[in-house]
Amino acid sequence: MYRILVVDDEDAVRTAVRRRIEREGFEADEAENESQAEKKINSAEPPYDVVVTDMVMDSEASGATVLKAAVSRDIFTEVIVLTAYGNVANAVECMKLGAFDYVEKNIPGVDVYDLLVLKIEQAVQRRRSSIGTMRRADRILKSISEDDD
Amino acid sequence: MTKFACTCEGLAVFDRISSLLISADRDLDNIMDAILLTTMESMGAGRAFIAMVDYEHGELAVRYTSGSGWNEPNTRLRLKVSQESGRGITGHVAVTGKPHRTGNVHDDPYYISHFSDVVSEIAVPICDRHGRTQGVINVESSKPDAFGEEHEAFLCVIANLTALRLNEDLQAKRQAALVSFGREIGRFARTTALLQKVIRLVSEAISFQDCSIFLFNKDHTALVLEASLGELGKHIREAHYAPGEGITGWVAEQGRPVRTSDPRADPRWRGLHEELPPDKVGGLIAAPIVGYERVLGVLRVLRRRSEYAWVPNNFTEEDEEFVTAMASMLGAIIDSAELVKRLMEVERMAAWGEMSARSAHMIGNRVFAIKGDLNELRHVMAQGCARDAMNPLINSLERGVFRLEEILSEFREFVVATRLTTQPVSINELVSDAVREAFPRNTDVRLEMELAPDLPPVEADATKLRRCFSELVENSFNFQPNHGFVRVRTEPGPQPDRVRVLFEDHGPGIPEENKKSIFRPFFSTRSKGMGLGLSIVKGIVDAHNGTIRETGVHGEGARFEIVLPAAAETEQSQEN
Repeated sequence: MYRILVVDDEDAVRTAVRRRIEREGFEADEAENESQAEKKINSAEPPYDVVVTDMVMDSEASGATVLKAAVSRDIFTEVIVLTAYGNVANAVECMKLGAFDYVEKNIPGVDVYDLLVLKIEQAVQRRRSSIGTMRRADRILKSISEDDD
Repeated sequence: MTKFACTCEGLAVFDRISSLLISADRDLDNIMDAILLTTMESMGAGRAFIAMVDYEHGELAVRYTSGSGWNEPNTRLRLKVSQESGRGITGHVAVTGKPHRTGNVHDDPYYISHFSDVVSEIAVPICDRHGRTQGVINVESSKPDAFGEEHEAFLCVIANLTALRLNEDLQAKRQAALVSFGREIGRFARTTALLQKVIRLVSEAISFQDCSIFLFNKDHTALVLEASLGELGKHIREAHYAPGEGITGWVAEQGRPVRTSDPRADPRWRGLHEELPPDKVGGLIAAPIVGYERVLGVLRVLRRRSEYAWVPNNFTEEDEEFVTAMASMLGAIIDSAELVKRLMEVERMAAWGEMSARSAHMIGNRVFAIKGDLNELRHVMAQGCARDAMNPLINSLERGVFRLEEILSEFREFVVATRLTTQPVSINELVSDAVREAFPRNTDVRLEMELAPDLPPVEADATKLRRCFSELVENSFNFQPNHGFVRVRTEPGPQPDRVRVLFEDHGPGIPEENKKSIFRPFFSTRSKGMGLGLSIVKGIVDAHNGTIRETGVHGEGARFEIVLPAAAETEQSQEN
């Protein structure tokens, strides 16, 4: 089962997101700020597959901090950034830092939860394929070194 | 040199008198009384007095007396002045500006009797630097031929020294007026009170019959009457000049003062809005009120034409310089007030920007959560679940909507926080009311109140300021551990026209890194509420032209310090 960490400083937001992704069969965990998120990311075993984090919590750079912590722990952990109104520029910054994607919390007429689930599924697939690729490469490298022997 | 002046005794008298004149004693009456007594005694005279010119009535009023025979009616004697003979030696001296000495008053054509025992009399004028008579020193003796040339010369020196001191006093008065007015810079007083203050200060330093202030309207197309003492006072905000129209309009357009003793003879004169009937005007100064970028208005001072030809009442160059200086300072004050207003506007706009961004963020988050609940509700309903499964979702939706409403209501409060309806109020009463309102009755938290007596009233919106204090009391109380304390104090501010209010507690205090943020909208370390409290408190204090700071030590308690300006003094409270 894929494990997802939901980071947001609003109880109601965490509850709603968690409920929705659990419905899809994912295992969800919560953190209410960046420092709690960093602790959980560093101690999780195995690492989280996907981290869904709010962009702005204690500071404007909260989302970026969580992102850095996640990829430092496991390069293949995918991070999806949630942005409230007016933070798209920051979200784009996160994309440059290696986030999988960003989801705007408020898009009129759109069920953003369905969109989020879709993004999580895509992120999970990419993680799976990244890990698969890495394992294959690993095997090839091993076989080459065995041939050399 | 004659015998009298050359003697050591004579020099000692000069020394005594000049010491009196240069003394730091500010009470002119004390000094004049002492000089008169010394002069009388040293001249061997029996009686002496000084009469000062009353410019308005063209009379001499006995002001200082010495020697025998003075009683209540005598000391209030007013001497009509005329150049005709038989109308009094004092009046004659005032008119001619020359000394007069007689060895036998009964042979003197000017003499009129106020005391039966007078035989010799000597009177010399006290003239200002423009040669205008300000008063007359009069010395009398019951002996014939009591005074010689040397006495006359001596008395002339005394009169000149007195004139110097009178002039110095006038200058000191003007300096004091300028200094006192200078203090207004940055005080941000209400304009009406400010203009009244200018008129009062000018009237203390220059005797005049009327004074008016015209200020340009917003689009700078007309000079509108904003303040006036006399008749013209009935036409405040009605009487106006176009730029360049009349002497007043010319002054505004050219940025230069005008001083004239006969406005009607001036080709620029139009006589549109006059404080006095045109034929009664004896002197006029119109000075431009100059701001940083342009002329803001005109300060106009008028004196009534004297009915007595000998009483000069045109304004002097010094008068013009003083009025011009006052007008310039008024310009600086109006400019500075405008600047502060603009700065506050900029700050307010910045606060607004932040408020809007943060509100949008918070509303966005709530709406996102509500949409999550709706999404789940739809799912639950599609699954055909029982009502019980829906209840938590409906509750959550209700909470979400409630929080949205909370944001809206705080937002509205932020908007109205700075719309004030002010009047002078007692700060102690406000603080007491707020404490009564916000501090719970049954609690083990101790309340300490220290209210300083005799604080000046503040110009405040009582309802808003009370709310602001209540918020701080409530804030302090909420952070108190058991048996903690909340201390509320009022005291004089850092300047005489400020008051300080302090709210201290023994709670956890504010961490250094949060001190800058606590007044920002939606900043809160409390789980309940949204943190708009302190930003509204700051908004209200700012709107009162006050300041608020948190000066507590983290770990020891919070300390909120508010400094508010006292209400501008009105003319009435000045008189009181």
